[in-house]
Amino acid sequence: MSADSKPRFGRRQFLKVAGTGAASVALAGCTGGPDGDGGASPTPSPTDTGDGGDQTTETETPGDTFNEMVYLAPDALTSIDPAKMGGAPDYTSVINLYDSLIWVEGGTYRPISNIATDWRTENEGTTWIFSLRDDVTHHSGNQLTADDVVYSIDRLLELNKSPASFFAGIYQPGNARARDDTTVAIDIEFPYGPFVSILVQLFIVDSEVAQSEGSGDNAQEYLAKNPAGSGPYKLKRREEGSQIVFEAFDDYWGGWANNQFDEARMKIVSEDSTVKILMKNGEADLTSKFLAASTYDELATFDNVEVPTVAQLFLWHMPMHTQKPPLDDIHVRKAIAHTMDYQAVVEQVFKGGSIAAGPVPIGMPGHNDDLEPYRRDLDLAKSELDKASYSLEEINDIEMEIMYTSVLPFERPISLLLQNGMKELGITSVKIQDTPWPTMLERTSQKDTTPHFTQVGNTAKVPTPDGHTYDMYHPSAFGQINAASWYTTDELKALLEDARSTVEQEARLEKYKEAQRLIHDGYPSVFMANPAYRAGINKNLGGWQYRGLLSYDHRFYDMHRKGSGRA
Amino acid sequence: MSYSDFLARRAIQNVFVVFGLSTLIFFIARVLPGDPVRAALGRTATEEQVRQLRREMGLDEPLYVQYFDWLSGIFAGDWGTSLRTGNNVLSDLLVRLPATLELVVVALLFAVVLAIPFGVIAGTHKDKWQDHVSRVSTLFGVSMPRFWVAILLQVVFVAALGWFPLIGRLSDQFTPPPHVTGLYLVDSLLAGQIPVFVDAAYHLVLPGFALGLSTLAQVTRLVRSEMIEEQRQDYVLAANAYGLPQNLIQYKYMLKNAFTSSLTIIGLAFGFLLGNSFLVEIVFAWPGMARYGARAILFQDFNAIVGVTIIVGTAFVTANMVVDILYGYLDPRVRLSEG
Repeated sequence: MSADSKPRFGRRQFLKVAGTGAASVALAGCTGGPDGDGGASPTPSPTDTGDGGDQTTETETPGDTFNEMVYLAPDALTSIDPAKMGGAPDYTSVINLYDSLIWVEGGTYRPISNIATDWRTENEGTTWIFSLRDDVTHHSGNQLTADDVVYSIDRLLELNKSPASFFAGIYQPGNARARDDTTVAIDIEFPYGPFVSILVQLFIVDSEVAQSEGSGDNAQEYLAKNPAGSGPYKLKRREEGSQIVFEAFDDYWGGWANNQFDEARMKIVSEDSTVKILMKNGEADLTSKFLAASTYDELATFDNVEVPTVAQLFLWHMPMHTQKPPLDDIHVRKAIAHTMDYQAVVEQVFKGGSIAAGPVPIGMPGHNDDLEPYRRDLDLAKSELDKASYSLEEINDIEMEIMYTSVLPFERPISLLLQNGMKELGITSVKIQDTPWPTMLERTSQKDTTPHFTQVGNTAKVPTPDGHTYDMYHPSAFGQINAASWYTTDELKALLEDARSTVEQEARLEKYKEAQRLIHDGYPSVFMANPAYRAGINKNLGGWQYRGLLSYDHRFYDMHRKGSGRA
Repeated sequence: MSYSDFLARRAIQNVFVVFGLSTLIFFIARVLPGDPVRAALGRTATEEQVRQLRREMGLDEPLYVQYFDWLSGIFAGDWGTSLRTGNNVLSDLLVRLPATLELVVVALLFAVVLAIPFGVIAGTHKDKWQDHVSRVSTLFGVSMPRFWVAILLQVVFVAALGWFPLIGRLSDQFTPPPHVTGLYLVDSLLAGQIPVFVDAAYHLVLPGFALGLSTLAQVTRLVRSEMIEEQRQDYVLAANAYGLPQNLIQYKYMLKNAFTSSLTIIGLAFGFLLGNSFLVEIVFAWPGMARYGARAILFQDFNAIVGVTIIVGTAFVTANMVVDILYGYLDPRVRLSEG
């Protein structure tokens, strides 16, 4: 470099470029609001979404007296649209922002009145008439009427997303009508006994708001960000991926007591160690049920936390592919089922609960209490194997696969327990395969690709045995992962169809019990456990009650503050 | 070739790099085994629902049609729909990117601001106690997994000492500042909300340190070894002979020469941390893009996977461009050489 040459890229130029680069990076964040609305002028909304509308900080001075509860959700929300709910956090949100037509009673898990006060059938069970409350106001101030119910059920089926699967083949859009403001008639395709039960999944949308704000796309875009419900809480603020803040709806039809919560926060905390610290420090009231068993054990040691253990309407099982050799022989299936160490699964892996007695969880209305759980009995297993049409050598010539996903940490030890049990019987040609969840779903959608054993759980989403019988063993369910046994019989199929179409509840439940017996005796699955429901609860949180269905125990309205604050 | 021509050529190459990367990931994500549509709809999804969602997302079209559809939407801001959130992937990312960007920038600031003096001190006190302390502590820094450091910091500084907040970007009593960039430190200053600024900064300390620790250790070691090399140069001897102050010699003359290899590490670290901060984000419940990307991979949310890849790829190439520019500043021979 010559002493006379000037640098062509000196300090001043560098600082210009650095400044421009920094501005570009800053501008990269400039088009999304905290609730992801794309940066356009905020859509007028009855709720404050916190997107720049406030120019001052809403600082609540420590010491302000208001009741707040904090729930720690395991994963981020995907949708607050009641027609598009997916996982547990979605249900938690919708249950608080909206009212369902029917609710579920804690303890008995039976459907009870909510927006619908009573119901009856006409036309031999193909028309259901619901009387509605006349004192329900939406968050917008609009009265909830039968037109809203009609709109909501039609919208649910037209969008045809996850929650609509409960109504598939049962209700077609256009078959509901408002007889008057407080009476709605719903025509269904055939007499369907559990129809009232599945209406716990129908959340009522303010049709006037939805239709005026989003007529083009069935209000999908609008309701994705702006709830239009009548539930006990309104959406105060949503911080994507972080938390969702609810505030009490003063005009809620249920009324309010002093010790109920003015505000509730659902914080997204996926890491167990973080949950433990939050609970120990008294910074949260309630955990989810998705933590590791050891985490609940540790939470139970904290002075300010209780960990109730409740029988859960949840089946953990291993469907056996009954149309794939050698599992097409019932004696082979029986033999394998009797090698499993069920006690170890319940006590060591799940650390609570009970051994499953058939496909329907113990405690579900309609569970057949006469069924005995399968038990570990190697002598019985050997005698069953002796009756099989396959010799042990023939069985070992077939490499069997136990498919599971390591997303849930307990699946691998359970797979190993079954593999080990079969080894004790001399069945050694068994491999365990950790598989991503989407691949598990893909493989079990086809008979040829479904493996011999698939580890899966089935949690109740509606309070009827139908979800653990028809949805697992009727041919219409084949292709879904809980039907990975591909098991049915003509007798079972006919009985399940008959049970579904029986309107009278007790008669229907008796038929489901008989169906359970047929299933139990057919050994289509290794019915392992009904794991206990556990949650970490702050000692000063009152009113929490397990209601049997996913997230239905997270209606914040049911809870209240005991004492002067969080313990 | 002049330096500015070189930079221009690199910029054009980088566009092709990002394009090629996103194309590759587009096809890989779509041919992986698994049915993410069923996963998105839930286990009770009927065949009709699965077919309907596939139609809505264009997944029943041939792969090349899907590709051109995606390509035509990219520049119009339509990055496809996330199977998990149901939103346009671009809007999902723009909401979450500022949180990760802020965390990564703070982590790198920690790393650079601390690594420079540590490295200089260690390098200029070779084989003395300062050097030994530096070597042991950097060994810990590169060895300890980020998530473990994160949990350790929570246990010590939150649970035991109560000095810092545990999770999130702000305390419950604050609402996010009016959105301009999504970076709470910047937005709060722009809005004049100093308490929010302080609270946001406070929330960044532990996750920023956890994320930046291994980069801090790497850069410290690099600076140390380069300083040792520079110590042997004639100009240092001459500067000492002239009686110039040690701080001036070390931090102005020696460091400028010693820092070039560290720049490479920092540039690479920026892109790496942007995509790999998800464990720290999970531990601190930080609502960032990395956590979103990790979930997208687990659930084969292919549009989201491609979107995150584009962002991270762009960050990598941008960071490397900046490093190239800074090279030119630090080493005049780079910017003045002609091809």
